[in-house]
Amino acid sequence: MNPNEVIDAYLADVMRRVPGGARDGIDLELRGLLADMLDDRAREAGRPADDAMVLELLRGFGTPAEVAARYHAPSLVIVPAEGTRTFAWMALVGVGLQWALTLPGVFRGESFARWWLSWGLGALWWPGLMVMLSLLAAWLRQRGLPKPAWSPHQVDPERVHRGAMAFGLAGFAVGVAGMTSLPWLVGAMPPPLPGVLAFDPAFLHGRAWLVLPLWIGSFAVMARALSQGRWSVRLRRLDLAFGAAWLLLLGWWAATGGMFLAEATDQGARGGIALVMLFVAIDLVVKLRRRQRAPRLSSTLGRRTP
Amino acid sequence: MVKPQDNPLPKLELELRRGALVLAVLSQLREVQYGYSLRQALAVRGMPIEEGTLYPLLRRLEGQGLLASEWRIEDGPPRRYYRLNDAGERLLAELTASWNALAGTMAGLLEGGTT
Repeated sequence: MNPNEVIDAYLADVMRRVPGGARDGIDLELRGLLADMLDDRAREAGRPADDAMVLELLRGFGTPAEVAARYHAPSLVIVPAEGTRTFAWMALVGVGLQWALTLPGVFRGESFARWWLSWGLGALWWPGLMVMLSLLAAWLRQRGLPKPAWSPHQVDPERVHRGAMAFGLAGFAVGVAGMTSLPWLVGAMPPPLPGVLAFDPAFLHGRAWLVLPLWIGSFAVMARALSQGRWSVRLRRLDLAFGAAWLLLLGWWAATGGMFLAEATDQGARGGIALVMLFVAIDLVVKLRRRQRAPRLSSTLGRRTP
Repeated sequence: MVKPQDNPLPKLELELRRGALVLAVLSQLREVQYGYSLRQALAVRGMPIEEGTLYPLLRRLEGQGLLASEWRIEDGPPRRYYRLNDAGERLLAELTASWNALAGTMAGLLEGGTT
């Protein structure tokens, strides 16, 4: 290759990466610039330009990708710098959780290839969804979406946000109504759903009813907190006790199975229950830590108060 | 002790220069220049700039309506010649005033020390 051919090849690589409308101008500009630079080098070296001189010049000028990047306007920031760590953790934990819940089947003898082509790769829906939501948020930011005004964090952790809690309780009631009527609803569903979602009668009569006192108790505690506007010590203890009771009941169901007549549905339900147990456990830990921190916070504030 | 590779001076100096780059380029475009001659004019006056940085900057300034450009073919390859247009002249005057004010402020801060 002669020096001109080397420059041609380099510029072809750059041009593939620059905006289409500006290609001709940038090509001519860079060609002129590189020719001037090469002339200078040849004059300084006291010999005509050769391949080695051109290669040295181009390597110092930057890779084609680097050169092309200089011609691009600053691109859309999908995940802002302050959110990168949280984004990465949420993506990894989401995928890890799905793998942790589904991978044990492989150790029990199921095909790894089958797992990989179903849950293994399928778990990547989560980071994909996160990217799509981040893209939407970036687009809204670019459109100048009004930023929410900053407001101080709630100092009293036991204070109840009445609007959110009322909404949560309404959702709770609707969910409970749906779940308790499910055994009757299933019978009215079109085939094959009655067969797929049919409960095991032994489960309904032996273990399922225990959920009712827990539902009623949890609902009553939350309704009381809503009416009082804050969590009292007694209500918080009751809430923790109900949380622990939920863990025990769900753990019992998940461990023993036999909730649905269809084996596949039962397996799916056990996986779902394990996920719910994880959320309940996290909620319990957060509440317990908050209870431990609250006295420290109040004593610190007390010391600062003149 | 600061290790040689931890010396922040070159990077900070580069950032200082980068802040003044647009003003330096505009100042030399009161006369018609093409990219390489502009780069040499800046280098001779103590403001070296990478070629790869200069050309995209010239395109950006032109895109912002501050420069006028035309292609000319003289001896050598075709070259794009740039010069300030009216908006560029006005911006240069305003930036020069800002620069002088900033330089005065900095001189006061640096000479005044902590007093």
